Amino acid sequence: MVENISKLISNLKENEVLEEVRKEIESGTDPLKIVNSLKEGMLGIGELWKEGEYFVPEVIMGAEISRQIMEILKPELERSRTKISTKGCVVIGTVRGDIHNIGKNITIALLQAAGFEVFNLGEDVPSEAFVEKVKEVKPNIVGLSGLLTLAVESMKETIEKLQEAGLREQLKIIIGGPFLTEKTREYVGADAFTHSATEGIEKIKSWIGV
Amino acid sequence: MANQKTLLHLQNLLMKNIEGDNMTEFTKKKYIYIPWAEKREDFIKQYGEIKGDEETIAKRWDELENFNLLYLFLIGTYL
Amino acid sequence: MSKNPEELFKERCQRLIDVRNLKEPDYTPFYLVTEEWSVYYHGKYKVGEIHYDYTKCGEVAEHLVRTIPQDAWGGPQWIWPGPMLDALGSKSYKIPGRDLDPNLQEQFPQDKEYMTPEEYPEFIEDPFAFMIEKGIPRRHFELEKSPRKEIALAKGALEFNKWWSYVGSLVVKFIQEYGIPPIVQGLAASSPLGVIEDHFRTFPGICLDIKRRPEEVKAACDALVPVLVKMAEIVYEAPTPFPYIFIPLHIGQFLSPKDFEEIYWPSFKKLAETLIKDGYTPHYYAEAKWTPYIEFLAELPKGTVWIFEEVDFEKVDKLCDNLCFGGTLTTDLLRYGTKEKVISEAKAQMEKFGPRGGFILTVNKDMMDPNDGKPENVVALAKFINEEYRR
Repeated sequence: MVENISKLISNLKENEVLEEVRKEIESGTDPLKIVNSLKEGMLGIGELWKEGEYFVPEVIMGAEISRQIMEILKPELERSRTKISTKGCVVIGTVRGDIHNIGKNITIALLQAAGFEVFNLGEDVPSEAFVEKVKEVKPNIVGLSGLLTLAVESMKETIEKLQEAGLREQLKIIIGGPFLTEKTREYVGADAFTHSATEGIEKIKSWIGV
Repeated sequence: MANQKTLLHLQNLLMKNIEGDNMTEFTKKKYIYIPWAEKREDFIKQYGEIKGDEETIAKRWDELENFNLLYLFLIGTYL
Repeated sequence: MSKNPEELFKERCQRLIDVRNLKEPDYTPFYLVTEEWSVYYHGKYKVGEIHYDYTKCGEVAEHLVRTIPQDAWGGPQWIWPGPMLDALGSKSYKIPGRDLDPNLQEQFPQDKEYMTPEEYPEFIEDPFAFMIEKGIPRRHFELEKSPRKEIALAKGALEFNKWWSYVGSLVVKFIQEYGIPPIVQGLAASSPLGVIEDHFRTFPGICLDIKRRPEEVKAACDALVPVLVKMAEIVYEAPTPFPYIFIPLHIGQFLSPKDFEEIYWPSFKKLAETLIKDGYTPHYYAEAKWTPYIEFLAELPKGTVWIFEEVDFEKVDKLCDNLCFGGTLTTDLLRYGTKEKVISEAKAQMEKFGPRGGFILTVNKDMMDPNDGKPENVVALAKFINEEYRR
């Protein structure tokens, strides 16, 4: 049953849910229904994380299950040319000089589950690359991620470059990293800072109004 | 540190070219760390006296001490 | 009241021993652990430049020790300098000047798994053999190529000897000329789970292992304890009793309390107990947030030092009369605060926690970036402590 899928995902029953998805696909179920169930499951995981039931390993497990399900569904979705509607567009990357990505990748998985279109620029991303991508896809939100203190200067530089390119006004910018404080947020010129993916996503959703 | 000696000894060890009564016993246990050569009595307690003439014994202690350095280096790549 | 280095050394060592034994020292010990920050503070060289020039490392270290008087020297800028990583062809580190901009800090990207989940049984059977015979060749380019690998290994060992002999000479110099003992008198890679994470499975990899095969992960951690004991106890004649073993921690604090208790803690505790019994002092750098695990820490025997990045210090103070802690000075304060604020905060911290005996005034992070602290704040704090507070 498609409805089971979201529960199996939030309970992290990896083998059962993959089995279930394959069965559903074989019996001709609309892949979009499965995608919606998947999103529900991921959101369930996000909630459990927020409530302090789930921790990072559980979220990573959830993201891994999600990835495997999408692998199974990809050919079906392509075949039926199904376009998944989105709530908003986010450009995200780890800033110049920093090569860490785990927090960012969890955030991306949860953002996609929440219905956002996400462009991931990767790691050690120079400010120019952020500017170019923003010009190209016109996102609502830009997310700047970093693990080390050195990311602060890169975040500041990226925001300054967006300002110089006349793009800052139409964006909301959120910075993510465990060392960030209100002082750093102010210093770099971001609209918000976060230590956790779920907190960041709540902020992004509030900006979009969803 | 005896750099030249260490280099030679490392090459030997890496070619697995260790012989001798206690050494065979010792290498069977594989890469066991021994406290510094000052604590030779601990080694002797665990593996017995090193057999041989004075020169052989001195050579064996030398090899064991260099083995410490190898151990230190190898395990140190995990820091 | 200028004391000679010998007197200073004796006093400082006593302070470190006292706080470890939870006895109130004459004054709260004060030190910083800095890596690349000392290079930025010195100002003359790029980080990438000194990776290949040990005497410049020494110059930078001496500048720190000379201009910021402390009760311990936090150790050299890094464990493995460029030449050794090059000799072995390390895949694990990205170093400035070679892979990164020369002004940046070195990084440990953990982007590749060097052990498959199917190899857990082999690892558990003989972790040391696995580390040496499989781990090392996989993590180093030069060791994949035969017959060059023996030469690469020997070259790496020589560089290792060279660097650590040089660091040894700095330790002696700082003791003799400045009366300052080293705080890093031994190293253990991390917690048992941390070692498997860092060098074999990566963080996402081990998170999945914990969910998919928890018994094997636990068994691997338990099997690793004797190896890590020996790693930590390789101490060159330490100048003080109860040598401080530097142990960074970066995974336990991401686990659920259940996984922490069942998988992480048993081997962690065993390692701590063994080191303490053998006369050492585990000196932990507990990264990220540790408040949920404070009750566990209360189980440890006396003799550990915990530098926390972020924790409820009052709760630690209340529940853990068995350990010495530090990390109350934040990089945020040192970077954005005024000199006056830094000094008044430090004073308040020493007055609040000093009397418990097990307290060290230090920064909550290993300082690696210019934004980890403004030099004038750090200099002013050291001056205040040495010239006013300790009068």
